[in-house]
Amino acid sequence: MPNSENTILSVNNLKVHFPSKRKFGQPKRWIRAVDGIDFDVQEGETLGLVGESGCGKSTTARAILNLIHRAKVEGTIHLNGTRIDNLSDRAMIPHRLTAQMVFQDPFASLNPRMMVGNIIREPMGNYKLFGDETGRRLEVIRLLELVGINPQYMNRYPHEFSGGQRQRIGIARALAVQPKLIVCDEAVSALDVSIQAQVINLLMDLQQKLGVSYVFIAHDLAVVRHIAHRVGVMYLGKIVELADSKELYDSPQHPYTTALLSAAPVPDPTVDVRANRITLTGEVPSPDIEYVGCSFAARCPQVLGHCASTMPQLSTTDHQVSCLLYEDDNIDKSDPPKSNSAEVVV
Amino acid sequence: MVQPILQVKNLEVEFVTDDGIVRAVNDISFDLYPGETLGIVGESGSGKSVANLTILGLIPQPPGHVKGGEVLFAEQDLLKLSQRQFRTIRGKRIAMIFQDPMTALNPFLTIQDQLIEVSMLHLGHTRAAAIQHAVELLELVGIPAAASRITEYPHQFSGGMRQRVMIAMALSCEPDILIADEPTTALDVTIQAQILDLLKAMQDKRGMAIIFITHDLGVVASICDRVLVMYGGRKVEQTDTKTLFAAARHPYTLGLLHSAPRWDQPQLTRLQSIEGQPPDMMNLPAGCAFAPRCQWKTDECLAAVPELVSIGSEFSEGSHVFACIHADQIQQAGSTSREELPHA
Repeated sequence: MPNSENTILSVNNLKVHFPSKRKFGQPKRWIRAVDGIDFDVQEGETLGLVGESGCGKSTTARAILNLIHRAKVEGTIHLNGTRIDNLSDRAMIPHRLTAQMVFQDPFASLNPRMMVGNIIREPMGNYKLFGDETGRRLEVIRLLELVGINPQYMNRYPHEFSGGQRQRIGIARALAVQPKLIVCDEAVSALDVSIQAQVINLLMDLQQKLGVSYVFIAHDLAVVRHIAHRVGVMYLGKIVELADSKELYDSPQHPYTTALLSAAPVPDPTVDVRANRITLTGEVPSPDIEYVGCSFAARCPQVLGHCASTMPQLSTTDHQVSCLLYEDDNIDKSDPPKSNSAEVVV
Repeated sequence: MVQPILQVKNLEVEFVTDDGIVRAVNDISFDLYPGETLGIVGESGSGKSVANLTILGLIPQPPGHVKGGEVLFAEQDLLKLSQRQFRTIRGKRIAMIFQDPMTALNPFLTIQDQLIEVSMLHLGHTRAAAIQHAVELLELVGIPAAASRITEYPHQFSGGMRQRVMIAMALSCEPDILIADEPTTALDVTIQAQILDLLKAMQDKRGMAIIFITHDLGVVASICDRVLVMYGGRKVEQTDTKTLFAAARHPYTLGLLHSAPRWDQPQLTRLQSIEGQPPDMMNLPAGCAFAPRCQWKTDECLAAVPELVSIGSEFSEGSHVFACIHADQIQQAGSTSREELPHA
């Protein structure tokens, strides 16, 4: 439920479970890509989502825009006050004016047979915005200028542009219907550092000018710190920590966040990253397992005896964290683990 | 004095395409010493991968064409070797880790089949001995249950594990030189950290020299001893890692350092990006390739390609090679902007 007037997006207990291929004689299994997450995004705010591959970031992005098919989706998503998770593709159409997406791959996300002017004009035409064709043409010119592409190039094809320029075109297309929310799924990951900085600056400038909100999904912790007001850390389909950006990076609480930050390289040879590194053992477990307790318990350096059997809840404080170390009841924090493994429900 | 294990001299590589000639590598020279890690940094298309593929004789000719230069290794010029002669060096004495572990392994062959080929060919192992050797290598790179997993196919391995298989393959013959082309770019940070540690440990153990191609300055700072910066197919700066980060003398390097966001410091309002686009390698400008994007450019910059200037001998701390006529000004700008940066 939307809790205030300025909330653009409100996600409650979202679960996305994909059916996995059934092997002969085995029961059907579910890949728990997203497994009960809650967050909301305010007007003009950027929410960052970070995590390793397979943690459910991209599935979350697609679920927000109701783009998931052939999967079990539970929970509710409110976009600008309207519940959208139960809408059909057709009923979803008017709501696409509110939320748009910028994709990761600037080479695959633009139609190679369309001129960039038409790529940007198409969504306006679909929604009959800006009066007639002349009005839309003027708007295309305005948008191209806004994202820093010379409008003279509107009759060129995507292959005539570099990666960074294509990503700008993708952003212009997302802006074409004047949305209130843009979901950026690894929108700058494919770009060179110097070009990446240009696009990040562009996204931040656009937010200031237009008051648009972003859900910014990336695996690069430095980029997310730079652009996001609040950051959520995902692990195996769950948000394990969600806080104000500065707070999260300066004083991370969840052992997974701490480990993730300790592994992130710093572009400064005078900082000895290796000295403070927390090395996680093992790989991220398969997401088709339902855990009784904390799904990170098997790899956690600070694991307690009951972590494997007690499910931690995301706290409701400003700095939200889902870890038994921070739960306030009478937990014996010196309780050593019986074995460093997690209990599972099959 | 330590002798370099690999010397690249005035290497020039171009590609002949229907649209024109792409001058991918222009006059690149560098020395590589045993036991060191040389980072090569640059944008996509700056020629860093082409330069290293040329060292290994892996440039398809045509369309590629090595126009000039020498690659000296073990007292011979690698560019003059036949493919047959090259096979005795490639994989055995100079090995490479490719960027994309998803495509660099053959999906139709088991990990075992792909790993034993190297040691059967180069070390003359029997099949049984090669399998034994392969299992040891997989254990070395930290693949759990290596003996049983070795008969699996690449798709049964995760991205991080596949990259480790690639590393195991490259280390199979204990090469003198390892060329790692963005070996961790496709990986998550926790796996990346493990792989970097692993490479470092291997290097300490075997004295292997590493050429580490990357665009991630964080990775450069954590693993490289010296760094070579490429722009528009040319070497624009080369020095030790500390000097590069503290006193860059080329505007492109400085721009790169400024445009990389840091997670360990409070966010600035804007990143100082490098405006403009990377150069068109088919129409490189007559002067400095970076000039169109450079805030310090003068008429001199546009007239001729700036010469490489070096200060300090190559062995001394702080030795520095750069190709910019405004280098002093840029170093000054770098040190003042650092003082303005807020520190955590």
